[in-house]
Amino acid sequence: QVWNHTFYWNCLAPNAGGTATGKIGTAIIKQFGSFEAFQEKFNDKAINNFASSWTWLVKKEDGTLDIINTSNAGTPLTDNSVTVLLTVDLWEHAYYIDYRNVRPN
Amino acid sequence: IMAFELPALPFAKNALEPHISAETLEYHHGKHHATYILKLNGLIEGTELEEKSLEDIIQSATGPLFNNAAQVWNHTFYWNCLAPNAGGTATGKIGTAIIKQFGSFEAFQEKFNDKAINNFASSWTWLVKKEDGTLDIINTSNAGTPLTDNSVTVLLTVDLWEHAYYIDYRNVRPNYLKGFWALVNWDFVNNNFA
Repeated sequence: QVWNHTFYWNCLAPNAGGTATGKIGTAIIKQFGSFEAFQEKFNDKAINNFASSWTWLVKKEDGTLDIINTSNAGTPLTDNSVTVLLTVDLWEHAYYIDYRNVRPN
Repeated sequence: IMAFELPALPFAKNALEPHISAETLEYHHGKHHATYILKLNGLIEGTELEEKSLEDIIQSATGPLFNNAAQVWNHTFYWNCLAPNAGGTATGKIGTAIIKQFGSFEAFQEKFNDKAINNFASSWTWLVKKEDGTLDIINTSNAGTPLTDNSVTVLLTVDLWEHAYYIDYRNVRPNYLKGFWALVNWDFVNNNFA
């Protein structure tokens, strides 16, 4: 959880967000067809990630991207076949103050 | 064939204040519990599960069906564990059994709190009665429930998912537990214990 949270803070920034840029932007469009299609898949994984959990974007050994879910303190760091790219914390403490139960918001 | 319905809270929304706020109950009961019911109904619609009781569904379910069905049951049980003008030291037969097994109510409370505080992530802590009649304090994760353990009788629970306490206590679970102990409906626990 120490590592997951440090990684999570680095995934966020002011004056950021929006459509993916650079090489990851290109890779996303190549694999998912569009940024929106990728976002929809990521959101679907995240919204259906039951209880305290994390949703991740990772790069696999073959260079392709994958969206994966972990539970509790689970982390793809322990999977040596993937490179961790991006995460969103889905524990309720991450969003309850600002969004109450509404994860999609 | 009936869809499951959200049971009404056994008390008014502001009845548990200041320990659990009306706002918490609006979200916890009105949104979280309600959504589990909605999702459960969606999963059983048009299947033979529509004919089954909630308990029967839980006993054989896995995955999202288990998660939603068990969470429906867990929350209904939890609301019954709380009441206004309740709480404090355990009364009646469960009170006697607690003192007999733990030495004092405070010693029991300390053990229960320790299990609850250290119950990692979304979880529940339970007081159960075992087949030999003794009590046990157990932890479950996520939607886990001792209902599926036919060797125990479920007596009392506290919901430790963050949505149960974040509005009123933020991250401080020990304070939430203090509030919980001020609300425990020992009549309900005694009915389960009998």
